[in-house]
Amino acid sequence: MTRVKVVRDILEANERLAGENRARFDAGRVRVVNLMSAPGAGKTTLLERTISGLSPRLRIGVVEGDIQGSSDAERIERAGAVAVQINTDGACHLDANMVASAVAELDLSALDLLVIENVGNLVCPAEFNVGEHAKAMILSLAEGDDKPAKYPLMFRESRVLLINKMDLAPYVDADPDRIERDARAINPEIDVLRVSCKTGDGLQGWLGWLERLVQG
Amino acid sequence: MHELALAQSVVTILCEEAERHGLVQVDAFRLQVGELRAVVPEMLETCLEAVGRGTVVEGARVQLEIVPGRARCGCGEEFAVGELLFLCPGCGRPGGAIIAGQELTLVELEGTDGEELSNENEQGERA
Repeated sequence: MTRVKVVRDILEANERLAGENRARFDAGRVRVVNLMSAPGAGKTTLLERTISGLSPRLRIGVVEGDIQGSSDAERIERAGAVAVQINTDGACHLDANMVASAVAELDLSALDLLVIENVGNLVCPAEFNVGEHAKAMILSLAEGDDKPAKYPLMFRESRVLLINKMDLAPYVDADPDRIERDARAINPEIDVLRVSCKTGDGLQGWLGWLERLVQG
Repeated sequence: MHELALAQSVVTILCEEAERHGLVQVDAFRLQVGELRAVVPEMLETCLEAVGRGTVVEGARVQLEIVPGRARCGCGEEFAVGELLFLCPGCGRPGGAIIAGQELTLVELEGTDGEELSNENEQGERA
């Protein structure tokens, strides 16, 4: 019997690959956002709005993560940005290795901003760094105001929270003040923006946030 | 279901360590999992068993050690936390730094090297 003391971080392989991705992003002078949310919170719609709001001032690329299909990448290309689709074939999040192979298809030096749209899931994507400069998340109001308390990790990891579908406020029993209060209790540094991708309300704040990230 | 991805990483690391130390079989290994990592222990064990099949890890005993969450507030108070949404029991403020409970660490493994295995087989044949 041989006993070996190891002490190795289980996520070290992902962290190492994330570091390599980050070095490529920095060499290409592109800022990278990892965009996360539950399915249906409005990630792709937000990106369509973002592309039309920031092009051609910023050159934007998108890596689309989905379990199956390429309809989201097609939407992004119609909106006027470069898109690469990743199909995870069942995996519920993107990891650094998947992102590395998608990024290899992009000319990073031709981009100012790259958004990695993660698989719709409020849990696992927050565990895996992909080399991003910032994590951003969307919670749509209709998902309920108890979500920060129930799924705290993503709120802790994100630098900005967009509360989307604010236009539904009269129809749903969810209190955006409670979402904001709980999100700040989990992560006092988090920026909180209230938006409606449908009406466009509040989106200027998000576009400004991205522009500051790109300039910073 | 991040347990499956975690299990894959654990098995990869175990296979690397086994090769590095000349082990032909991993008999047991110990993992530290932080309470705040939202890992379901039974699910992780099931995934480890599935992913380990056909590798040197197959059949190994898993010892999961759950590390309780702890945080330290800016006011100096140190306290136990069972989840990520918490306030300091001393001053009532949010945002304390988490100092324990986020571990995902392989700390130890036990295995059999090629020589030991052939000795065991010889003994078995003699008996």
